[in-house]
Amino acid sequence: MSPTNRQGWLALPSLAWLTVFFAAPTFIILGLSFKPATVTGGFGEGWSLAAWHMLWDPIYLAIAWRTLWLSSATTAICITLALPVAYYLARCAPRRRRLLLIAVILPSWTNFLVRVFAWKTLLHPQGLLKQLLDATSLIAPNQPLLYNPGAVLLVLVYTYLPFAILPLYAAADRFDFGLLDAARDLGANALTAFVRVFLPNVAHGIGVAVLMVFVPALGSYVIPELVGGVHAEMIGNKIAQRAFIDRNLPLAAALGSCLMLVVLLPMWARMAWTRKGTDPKGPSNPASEPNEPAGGAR
Amino acid sequence: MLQFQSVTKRFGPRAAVDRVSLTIGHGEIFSLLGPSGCGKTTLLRMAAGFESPDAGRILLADEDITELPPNRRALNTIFQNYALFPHLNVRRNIAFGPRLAGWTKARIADETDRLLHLVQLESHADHKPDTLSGGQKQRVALARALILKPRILLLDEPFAALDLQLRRRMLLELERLQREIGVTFVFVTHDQTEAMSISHRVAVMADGRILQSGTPREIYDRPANRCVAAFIGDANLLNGVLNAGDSGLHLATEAGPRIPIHQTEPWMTTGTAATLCLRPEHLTLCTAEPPAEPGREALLGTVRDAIYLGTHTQFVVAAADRDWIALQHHGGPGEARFLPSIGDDLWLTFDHRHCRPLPNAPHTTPPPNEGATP
Repeated sequence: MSPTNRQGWLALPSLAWLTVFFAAPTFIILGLSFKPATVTGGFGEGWSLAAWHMLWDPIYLAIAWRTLWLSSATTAICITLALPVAYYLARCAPRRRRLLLIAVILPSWTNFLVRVFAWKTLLHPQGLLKQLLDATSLIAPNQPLLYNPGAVLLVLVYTYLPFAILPLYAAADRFDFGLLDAARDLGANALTAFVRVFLPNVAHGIGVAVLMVFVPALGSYVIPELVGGVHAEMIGNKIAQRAFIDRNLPLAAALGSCLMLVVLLPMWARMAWTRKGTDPKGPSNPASEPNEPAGGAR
Repeated sequence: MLQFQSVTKRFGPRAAVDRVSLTIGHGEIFSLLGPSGCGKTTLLRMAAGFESPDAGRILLADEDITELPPNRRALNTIFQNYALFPHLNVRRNIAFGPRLAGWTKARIADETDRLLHLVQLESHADHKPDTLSGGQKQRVALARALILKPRILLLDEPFAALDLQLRRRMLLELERLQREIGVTFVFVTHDQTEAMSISHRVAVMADGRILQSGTPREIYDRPANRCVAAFIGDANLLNGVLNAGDSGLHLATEAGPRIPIHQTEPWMTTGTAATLCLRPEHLTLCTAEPPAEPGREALLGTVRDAIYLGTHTQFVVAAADRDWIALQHHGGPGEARFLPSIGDDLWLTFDHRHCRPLPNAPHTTPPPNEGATP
């Protein structure tokens, strides 16, 4: 048995874990979405497409659209904010870097719910932020801060920003900043050097950050529930309502399956694309040094 | 061509570069030579625009570029680690500058092909830098810098990462390129052999100051002070004091020999501590006591070490309470030279003509092109 095969066994525990707690439930949910619902809130006999038909209700389409744009906007804003932070973290002195990294991670030591409630208090019509903005006349007095998509976006960005900063910092930390000098030397101004040299070289980190923010944002439930209200619901809220309030479990399962597909399809596409991209076409051999043609220079 | 006018750069309280003035001519191969931390890289980075001087001016072809950002300077840099863009293949690395400069597609393609041919990397045009060897990477860096036709090419320890064989080959290639294209090359290096072999002129730096600049030969034959003599080549450096005796000024060394000084220089005043510099090739080894001769010293010593170096053997001889470095050429075939072995007693002789009195401190530097040897 080759060493790679032998080492394959090492992956078994995590593989088993994923099968039991991820793959199996996903398929069970998908299966359940094809069952008919019963009035008592259970599953009926036989198979049915009723739940999937109900998804075409304009209410769901509108909410799906909102979920998608809120998650995309969250991701875009998080990456935009995290890039300069990661750049700075990678360049600053180690002592200051440690302090700043702690500052990035520290909020997550407070319970997530508590933090969302804190935002609710801040944004509340009688809350500090709203009062402050009213006093400075920066917003119209009747403009509510809470219970709208804007509030959801704000808290989503707040919540997921560290998840964008950390992978980007990891990528920036490996970046050779001498390359920016080289770019400047070759005629790039600071911005061009950042865009044409820094960004492509931290692309992997950006990819990770996108996944780390976009996927949990898609499935948000608590944040829209607490600061979004009825005007800013997301798919997560609908799944919860179908499961806990009307007990239409097949519909909840169909909604959940949809969400899963939205996440898995792009990931699968990306994996397929990367595999094609790294397909070794003509392996280059750095060991061929002694035979290189430089000797003919004389 | 490139001119530093009293340039100073401080990092905290320490001056990395201290009032350096230097002029590098058109088409010259110039080396900044010195131990690490002497300020040579800082000087280069100031020329490139990555650091800005705290005082002084930098001129490129009589134009003040002190405040110009790196992307607006008509000079390019070869970085120590080559700094190739890992996300671009060789061709796109080379085309990086032209694309930013907005050249037409056809011109970019033509010029890139020409440079690829010049550095003989046509077959590697589509490879990513991390699949290249050190020498190949360096040639990509060279092509990437040269495509923009800079007036000056700055090279920061360009050979540090290469093995000896490759280093020699790259040196020859650079010399060839220099002849073909006529760019001014400014090297930064701590390797004196490299600097001496390729440069038209060398500036020796220490502690942020230029100790001496001149042709390699001038610096080797007429070092300005003890520091330079110690850094360039091997040298026997004897501590001593300048004394005025009956026969005029002489240098009394701790080791014994008193060397008369025939041509005085401004720094030579009675009572000044000074160094006597004697190159190994000026020491002669012989088995028997040589006849006493005016103007010639002879010391009895013991061979402590012998290092075989192919064309010659280097000896360490203990005499007069110190170690002396001497060398003996092996000569041609059939020519038997005197080659002592470790532990042998022998006589060490040298001529007063070959002794060079040097000031200890760099700051009393005599003008390098003035003090001719007697």
